[in-house]
Amino acid sequence: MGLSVEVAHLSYGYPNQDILLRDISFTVRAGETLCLLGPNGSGKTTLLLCLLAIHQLAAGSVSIGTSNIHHMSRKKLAREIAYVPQSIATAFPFSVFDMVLMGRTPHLSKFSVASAEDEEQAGGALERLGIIHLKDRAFNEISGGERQLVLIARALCQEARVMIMDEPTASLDYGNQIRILQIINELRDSGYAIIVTTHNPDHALLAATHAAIMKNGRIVFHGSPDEIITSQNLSGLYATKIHVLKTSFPGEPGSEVKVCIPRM
Amino acid sequence: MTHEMKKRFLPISVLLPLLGGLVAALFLGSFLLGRYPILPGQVAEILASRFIHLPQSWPDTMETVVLKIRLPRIAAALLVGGALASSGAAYQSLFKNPLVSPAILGVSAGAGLGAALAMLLSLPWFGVQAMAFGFGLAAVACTLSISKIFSTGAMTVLVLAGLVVSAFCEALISTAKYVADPIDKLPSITFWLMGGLARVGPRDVTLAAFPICISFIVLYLVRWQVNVLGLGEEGALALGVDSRRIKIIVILATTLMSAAAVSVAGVVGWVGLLIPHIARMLVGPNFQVLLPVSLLLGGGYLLLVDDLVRSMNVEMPLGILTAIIGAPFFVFVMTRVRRRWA
Repeated sequence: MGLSVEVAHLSYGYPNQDILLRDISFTVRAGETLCLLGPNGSGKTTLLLCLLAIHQLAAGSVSIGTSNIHHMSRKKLAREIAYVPQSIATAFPFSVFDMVLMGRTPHLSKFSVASAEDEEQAGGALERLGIIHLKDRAFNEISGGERQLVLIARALCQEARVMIMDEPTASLDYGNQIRILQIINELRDSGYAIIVTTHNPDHALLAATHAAIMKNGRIVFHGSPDEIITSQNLSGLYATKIHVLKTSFPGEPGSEVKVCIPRM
Repeated sequence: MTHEMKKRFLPISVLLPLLGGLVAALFLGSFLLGRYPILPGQVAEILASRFIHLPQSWPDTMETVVLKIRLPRIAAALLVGGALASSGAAYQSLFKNPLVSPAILGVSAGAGLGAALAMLLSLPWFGVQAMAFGFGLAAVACTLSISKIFSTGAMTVLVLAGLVVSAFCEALISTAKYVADPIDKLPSITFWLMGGLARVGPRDVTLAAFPICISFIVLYLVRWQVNVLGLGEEGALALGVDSRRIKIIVILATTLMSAAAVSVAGVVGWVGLLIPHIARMLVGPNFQVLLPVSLLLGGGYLLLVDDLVRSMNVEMPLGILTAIIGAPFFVFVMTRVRRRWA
């Protein structure tokens, strides 16, 4: 059964500094993807870290299902929310399989290590994403796109019902970006509640059921991607002229899609 | 170019028994070295007589040499080498830095200061070891306290605090040497700081074995979490690992282990830096297997170097030899792993 994430009037500031996030509220249900857009420094990653209880809130609450995350143990929270970071720099060459197997950590008891069953789960996650052939390779020697898939496999292995992804398509080539977006859609269809940040508004149009635009630590627009990804909103947000055009696939008159094109 | 892990690393089910067998052979072989000639069968009989009843077919002097002189030294080499290598492996994993050694938080410099002060005060040998152990722990406590002032929790701050404490202790060691009696105390301090196992007795080994074994068990218990710490602070927290608590556990266990090793053997460098790299080349970075392999390799390596020391006409300080062997060997290891550090 899926879980929903409910954020209510969330505010956050680093200790002894100004408030960075103000009065943020939204709900993401199972089978939905919320795409967070916004310029650099708008607070997207900080918000994700608040949702993971890595940052303590100044005000407001974050709930998973009916539980406030700040009343949950870290381990229990990790069983409910999986996190896919932008990237991970490892100092030593862990194998891809070991990296994915670490996703089982929230399910292990104190002082125990992964069992054969956990290893099966890790293998299953790698197979689901079609990267089982990478399992014996060193994580720091595979390509950026492959690393991102490995981090998603780790999140799958975690068996959480909410997935938080921080710019999963950053620094990937176009093909890998599309592949990641397809995977996000597949995960959403399988019942995950997904929160994903991106700098590319086209990604919100392609992979989100909801979108929120952040500016200066606030959500300034929130709604369906069709409603809020508009020329006016984007041009105002990024201080450059951006057109959102409607088009359709060649030979498919009914297949209307929107694309964002900046005016250079 | 990519490499498959399976091709690069040996299976642990093969390596651990192989290493265990080699270290056991080295352990028994080390009894044969020295001025008093003893045959392998006699060593086996004398050692076995401690556990099962055997009619004594060897002179008392031989038993004294085996059990009171050679066994403590051999056991100390295994313990100290294993402890330093395990500490190095733990710190390198914790700090996510392949250039970290057990001395990074000031334990060696602190222990050196404690030993130097004890010698200045003309304390007995046990007092020197106790002061070395206590000051080693105190130095790391100072490092942790200084890093807390900045309350960022950043590992860089911890390392810088360790450098500051080490430098301060080194300065005080130099002061102790400056004011020490040049005929008697200065050579004692200098030789202690160069490391060695010549004065190790059965009681020293027993006293050091306790904290070293306990610390090793603690590190082994948190072996999974240490791997997860390799994903960084946020990565570990997101997987439900209380990274702060695990860091403190690892630092405490490693400090206890290193302080016990240094209090027995003095300052023996390079083992804690070099051996984890060799272990990682053999089995990969997974701390579950890296830790036991480092223990065996470290113990075996230091025993081999100490055997070399014992075979020389004039006994050279252990720390000098580990540096002479360790420095060029480290360059060799760096050339093997440099691609992965890039």
